[in-house]
Amino acid sequence: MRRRRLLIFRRPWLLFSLIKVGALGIYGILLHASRIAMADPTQARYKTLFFAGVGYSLVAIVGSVLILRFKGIQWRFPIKGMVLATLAGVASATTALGILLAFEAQGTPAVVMTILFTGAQLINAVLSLAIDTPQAGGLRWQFLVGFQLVILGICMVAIYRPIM
Amino acid sequence: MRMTWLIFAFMTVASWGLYGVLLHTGQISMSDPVHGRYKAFLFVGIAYLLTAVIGSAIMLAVNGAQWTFPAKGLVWSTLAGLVGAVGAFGVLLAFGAKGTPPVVMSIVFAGAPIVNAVVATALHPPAGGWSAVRWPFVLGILLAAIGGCLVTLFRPGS
Repeated sequence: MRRRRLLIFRRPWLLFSLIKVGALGIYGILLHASRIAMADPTQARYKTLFFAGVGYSLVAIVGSVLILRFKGIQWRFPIKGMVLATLAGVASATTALGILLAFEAQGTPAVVMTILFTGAQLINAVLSLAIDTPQAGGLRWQFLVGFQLVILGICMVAIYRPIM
Repeated sequence: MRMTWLIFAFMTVASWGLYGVLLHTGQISMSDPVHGRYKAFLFVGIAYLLTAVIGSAIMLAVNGAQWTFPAKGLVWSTLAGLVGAVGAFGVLLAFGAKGTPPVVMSIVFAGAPIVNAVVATALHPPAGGWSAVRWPFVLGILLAAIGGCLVTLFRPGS
């Protein structure tokens, strides 16, 4: 235990990665709980998304501004970077809406979020390959095995999901 | 119609898969190798504000919804947003602390589904309790997590 703690302190990136693991692990569960707590069968998705947006924007905007000011950087942003990062934010907010719609359609957090976490990696990998096509023989076998494991895992999760 | 949720889940998969590529390209396009990630995250936050906050407010107004929010719902959903952003920030900090993207993201995508499945099943146990969780479901989560880890770790160019 003592050795594990030391490892985390010696490698802060590991600690930050684990923060992300925890945060992402409970994100969908919180969205699901809040959708139910809104007690509004028709508008709960927008009410939930509204406050999730408030929370996200607070951390993302205020946090980034504080770090950028603290580091004393120049406030210059290339147009392409601004546009792409803004599109990334729109994609992220669309993700939150999609999760809420899936919950509304009787998807459960354990199933929907597993499909999301792993399936998004496939989309991400395919898009990356399309943008930066590797040379012939450039695909490693571990990548191809991982790809098939994700598809197999998603199918098993969807088929054998627990009945609520 | 029984599997409508699956369509929404795959729509979400598509948008989230796109998110990573857009964010990465946006970060590079900031032409600032040291602070590009924070600059990109600032605009992600602005877009989130526009889409999630203003977009939802417009939809609520258009649909004539009552502007009443149960305290519990308000707290949970704000917490969800905070947790989502803290997670995104955690990744940026991990990269800034010399964690390489393939390793950091493989830890994230292998760990998150497992944390999610355990917490979700503990909070919302299925009819019949834990014993009603079938082994192929657990195996599926593990396979998907290992697969996500391999895909991220051994992606060409990583």
